[in-house]
Amino acid sequence: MAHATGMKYLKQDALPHMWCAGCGNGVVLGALARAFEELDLAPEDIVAVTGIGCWGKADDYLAVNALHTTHGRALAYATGVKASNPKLRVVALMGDGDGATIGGNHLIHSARRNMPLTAIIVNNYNYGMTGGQFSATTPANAFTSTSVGSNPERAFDICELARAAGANYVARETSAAGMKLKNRIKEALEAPGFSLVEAISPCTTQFGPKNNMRRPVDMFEWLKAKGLPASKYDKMVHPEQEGFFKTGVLVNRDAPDFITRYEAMRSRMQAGGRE
Amino acid sequence: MKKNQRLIQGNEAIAFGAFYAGARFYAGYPITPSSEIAEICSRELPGLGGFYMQMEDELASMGAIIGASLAGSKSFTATSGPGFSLMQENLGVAIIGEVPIVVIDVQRSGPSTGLATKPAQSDFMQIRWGRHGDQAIIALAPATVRECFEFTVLAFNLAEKYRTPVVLAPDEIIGHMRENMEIPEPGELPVVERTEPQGEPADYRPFCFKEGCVHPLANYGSERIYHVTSSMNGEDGFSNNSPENAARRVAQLHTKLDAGREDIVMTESFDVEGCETLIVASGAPVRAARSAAKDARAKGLKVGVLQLKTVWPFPELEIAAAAKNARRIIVPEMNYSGQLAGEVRKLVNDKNMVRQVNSYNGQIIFPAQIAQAIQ
Amino acid sequence: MQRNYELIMAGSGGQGLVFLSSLLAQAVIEDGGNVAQTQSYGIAQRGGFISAEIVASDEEILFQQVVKPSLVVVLHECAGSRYDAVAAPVLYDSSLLAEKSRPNNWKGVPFSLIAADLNAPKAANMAALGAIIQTVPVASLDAVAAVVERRFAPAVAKINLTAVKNGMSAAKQVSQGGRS
Repeated sequence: MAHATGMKYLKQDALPHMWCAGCGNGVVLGALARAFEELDLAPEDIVAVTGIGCWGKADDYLAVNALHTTHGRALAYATGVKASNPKLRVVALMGDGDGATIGGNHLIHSARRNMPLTAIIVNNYNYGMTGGQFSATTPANAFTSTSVGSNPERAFDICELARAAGANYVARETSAAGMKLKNRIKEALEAPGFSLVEAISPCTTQFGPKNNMRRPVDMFEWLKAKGLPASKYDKMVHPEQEGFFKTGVLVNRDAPDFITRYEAMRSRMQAGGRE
Repeated sequence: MKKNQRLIQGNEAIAFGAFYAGARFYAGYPITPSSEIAEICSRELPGLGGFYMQMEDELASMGAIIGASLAGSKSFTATSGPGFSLMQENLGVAIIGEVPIVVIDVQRSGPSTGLATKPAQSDFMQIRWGRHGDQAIIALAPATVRECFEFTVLAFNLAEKYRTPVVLAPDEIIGHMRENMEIPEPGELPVVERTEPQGEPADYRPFCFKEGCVHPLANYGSERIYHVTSSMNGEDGFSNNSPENAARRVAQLHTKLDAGREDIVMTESFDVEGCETLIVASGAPVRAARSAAKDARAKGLKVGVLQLKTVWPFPELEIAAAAKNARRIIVPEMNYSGQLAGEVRKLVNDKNMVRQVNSYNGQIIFPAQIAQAIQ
Repeated sequence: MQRNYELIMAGSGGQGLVFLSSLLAQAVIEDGGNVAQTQSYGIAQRGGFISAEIVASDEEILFQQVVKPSLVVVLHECAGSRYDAVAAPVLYDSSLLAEKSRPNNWKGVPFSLIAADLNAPKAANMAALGAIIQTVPVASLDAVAAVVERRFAPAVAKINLTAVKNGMSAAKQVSQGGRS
């Protein structure tokens, strides 16, 4: 098989994209399009649902069905699309502010419901589009435009949150590892139930420069140094305090998804069981 | 006994009306006094091949029904004032995305949590102006249980026909009261289905910004791939920042409802011919108004009632025509500020001829209160 | 028969008052009439004052609420003094409400006792239903029986119908001056 380019899933006349030089969004978009191609998905069967933020603009470049929604609510819209037509392949593209901060409630409930959707959260540790304010994933003590004296809040671990809430598949990679990211997205698209891929990504205009990573390459080097596979991460003492994070597949289980459970309930009702 | 007459609650009639119209997707969050609708949907939709989804909040409920509608299901939610407030931002997506959905707002007394089980009509302005950005919407208000059923069917029809959200706004009285009614047989009431777009799938554009235009909507999963966005967009559904495009886009959202005005705006007249006192009412107060008007006519007074079945777009022409010979217009409504009265006042030169009868303590308006205003 | 009745049923949440009013409303329909049934309640699922109203007519019902009651039924003390000034007959549960002097139009019928005698304490509302149709001809016994038989399993329907009939007799006795 020829190397997948993903081009047929991209709206080529909309390129080049709007994202900053060094931003990881392009890498994630490329990984997503290649994953679609390697799975040979029909563009008309895909619905990309986006929220608001830099990564929320991804639908502008996708030649699949798309629904660009409000800040934080992409998963709610995606839930309706999926239940209305379960044959559709639904992906929700959200940033950390969108997907884990203002939209945190929908994230945990989508995972709890085990809604058969794929959430791809690009975590760049801040609100890039509005000028680099801190989000729920900004590390403690980090500097942002609304934490100029360092962030007094603690960060969410998105993957841990999704795992605890019941997601079937959870994985994390960085945008410094495009191939791995593509493979995780492929696995997520094939996983039953709710799947989530967190892509840690550099914000080279806002977060990086405010935190001693002036050049994009500094941020990529930082991602490569801090993202560790389980084999290394699990051997460390207090890795989180050192700013390390685990990459790879973190959760992989096959609990029945919402649609399956709903159909089972429907059959019970039609068989005259307890209503 | 008349055939098939049944005792039915307003909220029940709304749910049955929705199923009659072909609604097969409900997403909502329980709230008094609308919860019966959710309960009936959870019981009936599985058997109808549909989905009942209880979402984590009203923001999610609104998002889910918009997504479901685009994927091809006639979709709706039911709520009350506090929940409707939470739906507003996402309701704006349905407006700019021209997504057919129906929202039931069983109005209860506020402000805020207010009197949760008591009736009000204080959401009319929230329905019309509750969202940021300039846009138009359709709202209907039933006054009987039968109308709960019929208006719900109409709401779905208008939503599909004009690609727009439609709000059905009964007050708590109408939502919770029970009356005898006959459930219409299939085929008895018209049901509007989504029209399949024509032409080459590759050429499909989800929007048309010609004045008054309502463009056919494809479903996600059909051969027509398309984008819907909450951002200012072109006819192709992609972001578009040009001022010329924005002007056409915003205007068309208004003109499509202007063009359908005769179809959308519904009123009913009761003895308005030559009336000197006109009572303009919507929802439960229509009943008190008709009762008061009947007593007044028995005393020889020329009193007519104009029922606003459609609240938005506001029936300006119909009110003006009914008030032609009127020396006084009485507007009874369950709110303090006179949300409907204010609109009526805009239509007349002599502002003093509009007399308000307001109830804002969670209690209904009685005919005697209207009778007093007639005197 | 030209019907035009306005009824109020008041009591405490959980006494089956709204259910009683909806059975009566269905009986009105069974007899070919129009009916509007409303209720007023608070936020508690159980307990607290609650009232249900029925407007029954052979004509179109304009105003849905009671303006001039034809009859009031009080099932619980929590109704307080709300109906003290009512001119219409007031039937109250004499086995539940305190013994005290009441206005002349108040007639005590032991709804709860009638139900207890049938070993069906929850059927007090059915006894009240019987007393209602005995006092004002808003619906026929046949219509009530038809509705009760439709609504309940045969064994329960039988007990409930007995409660209705016993409620009728008790109300008849009271109206003839008998002591309940």
